[in-house]
Amino acid sequence: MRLATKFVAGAASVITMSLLGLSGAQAQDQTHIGGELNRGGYLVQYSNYRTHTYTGPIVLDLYDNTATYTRLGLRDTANDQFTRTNQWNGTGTQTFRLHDGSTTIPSGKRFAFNGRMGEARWWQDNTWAGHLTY
Amino acid sequence: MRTSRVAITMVALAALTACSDSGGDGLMDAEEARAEYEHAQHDLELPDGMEFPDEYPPASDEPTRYEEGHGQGFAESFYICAWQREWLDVYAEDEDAAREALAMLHEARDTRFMREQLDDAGRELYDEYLSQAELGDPSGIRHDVELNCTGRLSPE
Repeated sequence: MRLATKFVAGAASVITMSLLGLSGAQAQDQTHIGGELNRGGYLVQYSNYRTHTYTGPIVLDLYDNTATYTRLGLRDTANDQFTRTNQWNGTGTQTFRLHDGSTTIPSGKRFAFNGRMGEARWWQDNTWAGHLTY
Repeated sequence: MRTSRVAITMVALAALTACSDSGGDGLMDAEEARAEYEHAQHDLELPDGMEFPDEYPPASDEPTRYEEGHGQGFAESFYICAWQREWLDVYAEDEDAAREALAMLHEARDTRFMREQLDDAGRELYDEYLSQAELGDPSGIRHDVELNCTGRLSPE
């Protein structure tokens, strides 16, 4: 079991909590992930990348939403968003889908988050957080 | 009197925040991200005949802000992909060129992208791909290029 703890300064902070064992060579990583979004409603492109550890879906259980709504998608190292955008109006679990609707993402794929929230006042919460399984 | 001063200060702060089109969150706009991208290129030597793509940051349909490190990460990703492709092109026929490409890929381990922006799993995989390449096995690097060197990270 890997218990690597990493704090990334800036808009996105990530803490790797555990490695969930699965059969054979495939294993899912699970991470607490979160960040700040722009209250002006701008798209934010985070700069930290994670690596998909098995061939299959990437799932985010959002347990802390911004004051409005949170929209998130996954971006590759070429800065193209390769999934559809998921929107959370509250909390809950959603799977990221490729543009063709598939949820199968190949092992070894690097991804970062694109995020956006609805416009908000300066005092309103612009942070989101969740458990990422990948 | 003190209450009034606090209220005035709060109103002033609110007005200042309202003037900021970025929401006051410290993220970079496109111009700042571009400057970071261009600055990062100075430390990165590409294989002969290759140039960094001009299209950065990509055109966007919506107003966008970039986390610090975005431009440098893209430049370093391009650099890694360029040397991975170079190695794949030469490993079977030019030993010296292959050795040079592999040396550059080992140096890439020291980039900020590898040290700070990529997770442990990504670094471990990258090391595994390099170990395979040392033995003349292209499968890891080929897999990485196919997955992570697409779009703007491909040669024009």
